[in-house]
Amino acid sequence: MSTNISVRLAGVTKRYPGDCGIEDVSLAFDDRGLNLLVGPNGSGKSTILRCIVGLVRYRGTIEATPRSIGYAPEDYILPQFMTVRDFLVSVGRARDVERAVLADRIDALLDYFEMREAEHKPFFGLSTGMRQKTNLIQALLNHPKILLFDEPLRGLDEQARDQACAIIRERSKESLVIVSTHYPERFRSRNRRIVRIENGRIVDARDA
Amino acid sequence: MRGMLRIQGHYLIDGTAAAFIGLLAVFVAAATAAASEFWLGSAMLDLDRAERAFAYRTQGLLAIRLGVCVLSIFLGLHGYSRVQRRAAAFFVSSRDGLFAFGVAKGGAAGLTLVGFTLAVGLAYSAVGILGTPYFSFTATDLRLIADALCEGFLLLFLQGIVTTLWDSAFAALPACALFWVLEANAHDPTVPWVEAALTLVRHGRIGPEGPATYGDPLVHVGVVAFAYAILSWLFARKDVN
Repeated sequence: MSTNISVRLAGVTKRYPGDCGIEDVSLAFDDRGLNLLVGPNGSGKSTILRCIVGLVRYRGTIEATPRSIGYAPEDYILPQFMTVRDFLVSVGRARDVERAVLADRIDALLDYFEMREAEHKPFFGLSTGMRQKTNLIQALLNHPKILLFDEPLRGLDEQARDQACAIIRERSKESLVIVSTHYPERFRSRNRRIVRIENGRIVDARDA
Repeated sequence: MRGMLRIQGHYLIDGTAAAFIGLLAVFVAAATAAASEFWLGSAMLDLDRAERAFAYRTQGLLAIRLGVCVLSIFLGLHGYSRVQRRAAAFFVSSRDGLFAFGVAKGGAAGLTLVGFTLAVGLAYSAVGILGTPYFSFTATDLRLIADALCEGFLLLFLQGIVTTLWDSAFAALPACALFWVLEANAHDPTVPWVEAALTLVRHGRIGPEGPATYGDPLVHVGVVAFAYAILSWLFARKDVN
């Protein structure tokens, strides 16, 4: 069944000083499913995601429909003195999720990632893995139609990596999911598409 | 907006900022206490009341102005750094959202500055009223503290603009230079360039002739609002990396 979810990039170029960024990228992600962006470091994977979210300025056009986006960045900063739960409530409220619904979703995701013990702890005492789990949870909070994950397995142990891959696969059944990763073999799914990027250009895009 | 201000406040006051603000508050409180000479006792302080009150006001309000201005430069430098901008990734899903995020960031920094000013203003009043027989808090004290806050707002937003354009430790130099030049020269507002600067920047002080603030307060508020608007606009145009 087709849905009206799509992300379309047409002639998108983003250059950084002393770095190629991405060059004239045209790409269409239509409908639900799992899309993997793969390529070496500095190839432009993260830049594509930042352009879709609107965090950087670029030349070209990007249409994301509907504009309901959840994004887990690779480089992020968390407020040191805020607790995990407070932070997730703040993010959910900023995305207009109702309080009662939000509380249930936070509980469910904290349980899923086995973070219940950490929910009332401030970030300055948390490990990299716990912070990364929080990063993933915040992206999932408002059940967005478009989900973007930038290196979602970074900093996670084996068990947490399996949990992350499983929930990303699950969400790809109802949302359009784009994942930038060095580990495409971890994301096995029936409707999986792999886009290979090198030096800021798309070199290959195929269903796999 | 209240929720966004709260989260911006949490981002702004991290470990470094908390330590810096704490040390600055202690410095201002200690400088105020030293200016009062409360340890001499009421009998001693009761002599030369007018001179002692004048010295306490001059030095105490200078410490407050120094503390407020240093904090505003710090907040502009810290809050608008490249790393702090990354917080936007969690709360923004379009470039339009970046403007609102920038407005909230400025609001949170401004509220932090107001809170600090209230705290050091209270310390100044408490030391003066409880520790000395010569001091009573007057409308002039209130006005000069408000002047320091207004000057601090302008330095905060100017520093935010410079940091957004040029994220470097040296980015504090222009705001520090402006503060230092005004401190050093505002006693002589007849010099044309000093007069021009005081038309734009609120700067209250106690000189030999008593308390003085130059320029039109409406113009000063307008300049602060303009700097805030430019900063929010610039923030929205800058990449989040």
